[in-house]
Amino acid sequence: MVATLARLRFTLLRNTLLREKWRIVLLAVGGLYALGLLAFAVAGMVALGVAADPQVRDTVLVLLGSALVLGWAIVPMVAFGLDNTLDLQRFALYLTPTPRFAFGLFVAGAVSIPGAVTVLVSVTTALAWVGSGTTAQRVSAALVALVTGLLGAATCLLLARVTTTAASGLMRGRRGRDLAGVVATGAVLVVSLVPVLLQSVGLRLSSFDALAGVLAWTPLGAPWAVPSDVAAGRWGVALARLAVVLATLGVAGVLYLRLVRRSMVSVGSGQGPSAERTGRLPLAHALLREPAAAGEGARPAVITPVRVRTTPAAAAVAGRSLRYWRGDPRYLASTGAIALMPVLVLLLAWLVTSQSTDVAFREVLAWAVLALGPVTAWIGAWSIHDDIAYDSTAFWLHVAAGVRGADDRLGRVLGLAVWLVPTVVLLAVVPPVLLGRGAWVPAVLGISLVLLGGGFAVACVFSAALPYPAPPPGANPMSSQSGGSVLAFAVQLLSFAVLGLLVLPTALTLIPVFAGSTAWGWLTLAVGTVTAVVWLAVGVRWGGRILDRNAVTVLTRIRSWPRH
Amino acid sequence: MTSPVPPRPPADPGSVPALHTWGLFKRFGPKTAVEQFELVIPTGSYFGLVGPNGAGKTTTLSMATGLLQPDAGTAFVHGVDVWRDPATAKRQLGILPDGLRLFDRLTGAELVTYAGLLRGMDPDVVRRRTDDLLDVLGLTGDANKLVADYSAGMTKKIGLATALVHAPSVLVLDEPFESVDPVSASHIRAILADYVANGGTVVLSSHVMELVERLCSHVAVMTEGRLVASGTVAEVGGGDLQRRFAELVGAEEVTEGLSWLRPSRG
Repeated sequence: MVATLARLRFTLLRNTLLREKWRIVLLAVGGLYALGLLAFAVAGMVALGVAADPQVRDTVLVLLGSALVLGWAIVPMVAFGLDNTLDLQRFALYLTPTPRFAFGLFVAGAVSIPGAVTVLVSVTTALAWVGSGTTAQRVSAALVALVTGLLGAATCLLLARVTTTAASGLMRGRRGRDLAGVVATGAVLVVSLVPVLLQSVGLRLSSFDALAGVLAWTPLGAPWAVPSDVAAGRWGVALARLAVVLATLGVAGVLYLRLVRRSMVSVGSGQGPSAERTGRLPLAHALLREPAAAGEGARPAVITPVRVRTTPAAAAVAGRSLRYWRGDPRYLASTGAIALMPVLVLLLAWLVTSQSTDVAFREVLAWAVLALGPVTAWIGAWSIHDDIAYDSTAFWLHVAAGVRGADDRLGRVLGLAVWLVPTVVLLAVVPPVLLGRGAWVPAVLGISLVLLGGGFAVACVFSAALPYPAPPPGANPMSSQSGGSVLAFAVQLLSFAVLGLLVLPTALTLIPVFAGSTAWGWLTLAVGTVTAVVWLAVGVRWGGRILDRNAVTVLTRIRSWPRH
Repeated sequence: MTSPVPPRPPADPGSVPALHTWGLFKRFGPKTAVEQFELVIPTGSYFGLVGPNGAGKTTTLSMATGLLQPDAGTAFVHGVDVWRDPATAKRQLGILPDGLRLFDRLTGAELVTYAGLLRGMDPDVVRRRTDDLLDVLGLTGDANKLVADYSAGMTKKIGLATALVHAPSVLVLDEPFESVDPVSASHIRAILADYVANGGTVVLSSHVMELVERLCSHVAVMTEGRLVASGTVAEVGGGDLQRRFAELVGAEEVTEGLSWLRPSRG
């Protein structure tokens, strides 16, 4: 059973490689990387064993070991959670979930480059003990390290199976998948901020030692702390920690077995009652309602101050677009990225002030908030530059209905603009005024508006002319663009360049604002507003004409993308 | 590899067919998917397009309805060229494609509303028709649920509703009964029968012969991208469409079972 499953995994790998040749390169690079990592680990362990003092050695081993275990518990679930080459449900028809099958699956999951590297690196921790103490101490510690290293590696691999199996069970229903996508996105955003935060907090060596001391008693750090106890002759502590390790393996094993059994026995989604929603594209109806009849609607029209004349098709696209911004995890991930921008700006200001003492936080912040509006406008408007790809093959409905390209373009812009424009205006006006930079508001607003108008225009043209693979509906938002990453990168770069050109006239008016007086900001506002409207009009028309010409081509291309 | 395609179909103003494909030709890489000259679907017919899996049914219907650009040839909807005047042609077409997604983060009611508004209809008309369609298709109770949470049968039905909301004159349905439960199937059959009785034209593809024989007035058989027979069900099938189909597509009838396939116990 075990050998069969391992062989199955290699067969699957071989078939994938034969079908997609470029993956061979990826695999080779991964292998080289793994070898390098291994060499680095061996050198590091020897260095630790020979040179470092025991305290540093213990701390480093426990911290790195804990990071390894934690990494295995989280990363496969978040990043490769959708790697269902050995999906349990596919076996459900042929097998009963016995412990032997579960063990085979565990081994088959472990035979991979990362698995092999983890086992080998864990074993090399023995090298850290060959350099110090008496012969008896060295030999016993090294031997124990061999065993606990293997146990640690087993913990890594087992936890990975537990978390991925649990996650795949959760993600079977749509709601679970949605939630997982949003959580994964949030996790990635938070993790990407951790180094910055750590740096600003200013960790000292003693806090590392304390952290390692705590971790050494947890399932994460225990396997890596036992040899040190043995070397120091603390046999009681060593046994207690070994008990932690074994208990972890035992509990994880039982949990894994249960998860396997449950996910093979339960078929289908198994989700609760689904969400209900009574409105029928409220934004579309708000856009189409005559001003006279505005009072009788169930909801107030969001955009009543600005009368936008739209066709039913454009209004429909706008209404649908807004629904997706609020309900689709892929769009929610974009919203998250937009919402993160202000946080980043604030964090930056805080970092600058925490590094040096001679600038006041308030002073730096007052300058930093000037960027809030423009940055949000930029990221926000640009975020729909691949919008048709997000429709996936559902775009056929637009093709079948013969929606005019310009209506399609305008609708997508409206669905985003209806909340993005007020947000940007608010961010461009309120924080600067509150922090005493009111004089800068016209300039900031002007730049923000042209970034909105220009960004929308770029999005209108690019999403019609150069769609590139996006995550399909229902997929993890972080799993994006595996196939066309080169194309994606090129398109993003090009669209940024074009946006830069569109913003240039307005940006030039900033020179007198900085060099002379902030009164010139009114010129920025005037130029920004006018060019924003012009770019938007041109973008909608031109993008619309492009889409009229190649909507069918776009649909055909989307159909050729995997999983769409 | 270009096929000799006449520029126009023979003019016959007396009876303009509801759908008329003309010299459609499509290759995907080295494989010729569709190489089929003429398929005439008379107005008011209930037309079944049958063929084994991979025969090119979906490709043909996609090209005939403006969803896939043919390499050569075109299609006419009531005489309007789908690829020269798509706007006019598409107004008369209602389509239910197979294997393409729906905007499934909308509720059922929203999706039908969306389809209606996309076609430029008045919001009040769309509202009334959406309610009617949901009612007739037995979806009123699930109208406010996301299409993503629908079952396969419900998804087919809501797809049919999006194809019907603008009251088209020609309905082109790709595998409308696939994975549909019997109750939903009878809903769909009733709507289609009523539609044809009132002068509409239905074109559906299927690989279930019994279904086509029972429902349709006309049938066309295609295999390996070519049209091998077309006409009324009686003309083509001669009483046993299943057998005739097997002859046409060159499938041998299996008469003997597997000698070892006997129920075993244990």
